[in-house]
Amino acid sequence: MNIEIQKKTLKNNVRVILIRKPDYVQSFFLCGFGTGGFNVLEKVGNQWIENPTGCAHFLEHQMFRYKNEDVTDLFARLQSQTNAFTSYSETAYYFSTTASIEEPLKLLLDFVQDLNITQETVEKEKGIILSEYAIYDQNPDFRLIKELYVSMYKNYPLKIDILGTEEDISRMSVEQLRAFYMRNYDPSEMVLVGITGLPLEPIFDLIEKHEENYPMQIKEKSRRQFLEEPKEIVRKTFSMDMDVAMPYIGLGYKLHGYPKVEECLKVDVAVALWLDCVFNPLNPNYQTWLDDQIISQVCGAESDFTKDHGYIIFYAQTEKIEEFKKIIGKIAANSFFVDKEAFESVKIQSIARNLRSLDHFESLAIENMRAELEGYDYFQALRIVEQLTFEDVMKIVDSLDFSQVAEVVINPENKEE
Amino acid sequence: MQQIQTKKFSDVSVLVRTLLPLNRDTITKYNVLIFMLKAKTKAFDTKQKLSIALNHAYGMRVSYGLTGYGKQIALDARFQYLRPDLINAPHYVDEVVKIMDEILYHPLLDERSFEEAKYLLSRRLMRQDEDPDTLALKLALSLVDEDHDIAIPIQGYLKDLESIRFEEILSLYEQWKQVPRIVYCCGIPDPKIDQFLNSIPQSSIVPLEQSLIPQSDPSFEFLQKRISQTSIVQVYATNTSITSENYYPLLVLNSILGQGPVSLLFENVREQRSLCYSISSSLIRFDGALLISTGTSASHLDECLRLIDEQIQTCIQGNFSDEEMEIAKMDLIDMFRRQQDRPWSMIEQDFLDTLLKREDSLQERIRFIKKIDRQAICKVASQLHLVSMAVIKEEE
Repeated sequence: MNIEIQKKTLKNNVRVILIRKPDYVQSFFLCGFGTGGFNVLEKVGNQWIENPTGCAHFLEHQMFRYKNEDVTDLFARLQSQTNAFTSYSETAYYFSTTASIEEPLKLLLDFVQDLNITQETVEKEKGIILSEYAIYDQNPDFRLIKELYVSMYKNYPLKIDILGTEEDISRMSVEQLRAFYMRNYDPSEMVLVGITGLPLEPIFDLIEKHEENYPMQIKEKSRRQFLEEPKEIVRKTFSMDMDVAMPYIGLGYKLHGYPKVEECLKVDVAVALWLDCVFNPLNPNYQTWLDDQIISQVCGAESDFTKDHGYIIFYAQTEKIEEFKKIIGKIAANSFFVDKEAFESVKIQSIARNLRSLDHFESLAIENMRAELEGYDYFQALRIVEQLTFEDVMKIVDSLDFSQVAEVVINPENKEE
Repeated sequence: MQQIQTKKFSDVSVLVRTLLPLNRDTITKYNVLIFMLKAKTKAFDTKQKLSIALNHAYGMRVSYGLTGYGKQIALDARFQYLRPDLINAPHYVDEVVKIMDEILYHPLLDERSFEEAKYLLSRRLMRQDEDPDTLALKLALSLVDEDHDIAIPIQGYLKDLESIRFEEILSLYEQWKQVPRIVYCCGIPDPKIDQFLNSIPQSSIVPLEQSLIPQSDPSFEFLQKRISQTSIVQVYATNTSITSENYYPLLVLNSILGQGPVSLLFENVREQRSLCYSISSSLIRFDGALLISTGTSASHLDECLRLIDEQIQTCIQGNFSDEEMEIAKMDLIDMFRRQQDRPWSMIEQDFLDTLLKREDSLQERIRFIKKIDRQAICKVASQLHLVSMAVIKEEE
């Protein structure tokens, strides 16, 4: 591939990853921090700190003020578009442009390393975030997953919305946000990823020089904490009504995390490959499920494994809840024959997907930031799939304990199950 | 075949397009047909076989879809395959050609896939009506003018599905097969693929057929659903054709008004008043329509509507700053430049230029946008006329 990758850790410990994609017109730069919806409990030294839920996300909104101006306007004046996102484990700010990168890049580095908020700006933001909350709240796909997390986890903060609770959003204070910022936004906690068609060396020089303005401040790092999570799920079944045309069902299998990064990545890839074989048209039974109208296009499976958690979720919009549960029960019991030819094809497809990912600036930057924050090399991780054999995958799947399953059903209003 | 030669993308992208009349009676049938076209083929006669073949050809992507262009719809087959020089597989190119040939010429259209297509389409249409934003959009467009193409939903009608017969779809397929194709390729195809694509019977692009929506008295519809906030969609007639000299000023107007986060609507409704999370304006170019969409609480509905109207008046009176105007232009220029990094956008741009007989280069287009003045923007703004509004309110 025509791609150049360079990495460097600066004097203030900012980790920089630059990727050159020759011939591309746009440039994309992203600054990420390892804080997100999971940062409810933190520990600095021996001191425990409890944040309001949604603190990282609220701060992300407020970060868009710099020197009493809206950063979006400042970027726009430089012919650049900016945005940000907060996930469970990270917050990232980014811009993209087809014009000169020098000034917008300096602006990105400046605004993420400066806090400019007042109680007035915090109050003003509440209406906007509550409206964002309402958008997710009325979306059945989102509600299904959210309620599955609530059913699966007793303490683990996946059960809490990244946006926080409506109460915590309404009560958020400038002091809470400022304290959160001071603990977590430090050059030593920051990853900068840039993807561009331009030569990399001058960009490194610019970043290095500019970051001299921002020495490391934090003496003792804040680390997010999780209370011990029992193996068992919290709610076996849960149902609710929404204004939907047909029921939704979700089944969430609570599994465990894998503390070692390499093992975790391997399990994550292996389970995804297996799901592609069993809950996909590659499974010859898939056609029967469609013919019997148990599934439609609104169905799927997703898995996630980190060092702290592991789960597989199956979902569908269907009238045939019991039949769907039977299918998923058989999948969890690993009773579907996995065709070796199908498996090899999924593996090839996965390799191709990895190659294609190199053309997508935004996702490539996010994945590189995520890998750096989690402590692995993104490009090395792409090779895991090449090394996995059919036997490896089946062995990993056989080792999963599917005994803890939570069920959530969303019914159309006025329809009793 | 139209070719855009570049090696910067990992994929080679191929578009095989037919332009058809947009028609109330056939739109749902075409939707059924495209479900069937992509389901299975004579050689890959099960979903499993087709999936394995696609995966094995390095995750080759195949899709069928419909897009509206004024009085016409484009029925597109799209293919994306990894550049053969990135892959060390001896029969890869043959696999790609085989799949293209099967998908384009040998779909397996049987009663079973017909029933499945009807089932899947009905589920999709039901789901669209569940989403308040999509429902509000659909209702607002349907209110504009029942005789205009804009009122015909490209996704088809749920109520038409049940009565559609298998024979009608077969007959539609036979008619569609006779329509010459427009073929685009972005990337450098291998000689075998090049030969295959050039063998497809092709036509030059037919002239655009369009009519602008009339500036009629506004129609309104209010619905209630058990949702968390109110969805609002307004449709304005622009009275500006895509071929008119006022089209680029209209693009700048849309950018100033609400295309992105640096716009009058975003600034004054979201940032200043905190009334919503998202608010935007967009254009339906071929129908001369401008849409404004947002979501807010029912208690703020009146204030929100008042503020939207204020922003339109600001545009009509030219009360936006020089900076706002320049930012809007830069945003547009950036959008045009970005298209060069996206294969489908490059193809679409080329198609539109041919359809509209435009010969100006990107640089000339940028120069033209830079020259647009306040007067030109006010002129197009003064022609905006509210023709419909749909509101899906949360229940008290």
